[in-house]
Amino acid sequence: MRGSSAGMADVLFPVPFDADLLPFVAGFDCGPDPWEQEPSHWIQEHALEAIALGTKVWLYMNQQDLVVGFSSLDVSKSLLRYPTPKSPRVPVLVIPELGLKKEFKGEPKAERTSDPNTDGRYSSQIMRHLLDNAHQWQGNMQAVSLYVDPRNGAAIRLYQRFGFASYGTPYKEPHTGISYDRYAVRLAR
Amino acid sequence: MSSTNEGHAPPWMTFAEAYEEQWKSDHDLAMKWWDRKEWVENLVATGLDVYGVLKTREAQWREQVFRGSVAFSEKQEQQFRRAHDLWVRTTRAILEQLVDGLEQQFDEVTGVEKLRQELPIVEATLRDWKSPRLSMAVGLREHQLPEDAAAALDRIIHCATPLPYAPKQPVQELSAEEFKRRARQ
Repeated sequence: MRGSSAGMADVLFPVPFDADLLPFVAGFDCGPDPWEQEPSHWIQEHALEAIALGTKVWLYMNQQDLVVGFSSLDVSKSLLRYPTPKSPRVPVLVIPELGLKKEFKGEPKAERTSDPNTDGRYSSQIMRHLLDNAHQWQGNMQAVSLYVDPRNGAAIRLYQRFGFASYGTPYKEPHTGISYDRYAVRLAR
Repeated sequence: MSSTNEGHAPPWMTFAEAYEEQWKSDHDLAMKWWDRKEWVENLVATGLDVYGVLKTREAQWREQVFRGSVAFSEKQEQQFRRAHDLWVRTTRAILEQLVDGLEQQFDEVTGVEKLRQELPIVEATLRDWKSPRLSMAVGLREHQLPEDAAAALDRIIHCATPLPYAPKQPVQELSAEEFKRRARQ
């Protein structure tokens, strides 16, 4: 076992997720709230369908060899055509789902800083990995967007630390009735 | 979200039925081996074409349902399953009743190897059939941004304010093998 107790930062290792790794997300639990149950359910029951259609999904393992969370990235199918509906489509990425196991939220506390460039918390490491990959994505992507349940304050604070800002009226999911806030950050060129 | 055309059989269904009809059509069993070979090769080519059309249309339908651009329809799903079943039964019959005899006469019957490879794939598709469903992650659905959201996103993209995070090269990924070797469940 490698550990942070010896003074080494608890750096996460990403691994591309696929069907072979499904047993490693059995019982994945982000917490009891509805906005926590959604990613828990998604990674176990829905992620493979998204991967088959091109979504990238990663699991993250810490220095103690434990799976702490997952993230995902894809090209958004919400068409951004502006200033008119006939304007050329602007390519934008989307983070479809992101989840951290409940026992790792806010961890490791000892490595917390207010700077998103150096904050050692797992949530910040996952966001850095996502944004680094977004910058490498082919196709001149202009921004990274996401949808978040407005009751999920911890996630919103994380996104805001990385420069995400809310935009437009919320998206109301027609089946559940949940309204999701839209957030986005531009990709620096 | 649009619904599918429920009133008429879709073109790919007609195509699958035509494959079966072509197989069932009267053919002169006394025809010369060369003529018979040509007839069977045409049938095999039709089978391969129908397979290609079914595969493409099914994948498109599955993605449309996933993205939310088409509502899931049980009737359409039944049609897809029926078309696949028709293809499997017709292809099995062609391979067993026509091709086996021909292969004793000729070194090669064009297209047969490919047809043989595709048969178990379609059989498995039918056996392990899973209905498509709408993406749980709303970010993966397809929809036009409302005007206010498009304008606001455009402002975010063109904003000159410095970003709090400076991107770097992504960290090295673990291979699945390395991950499995290390992971503690």
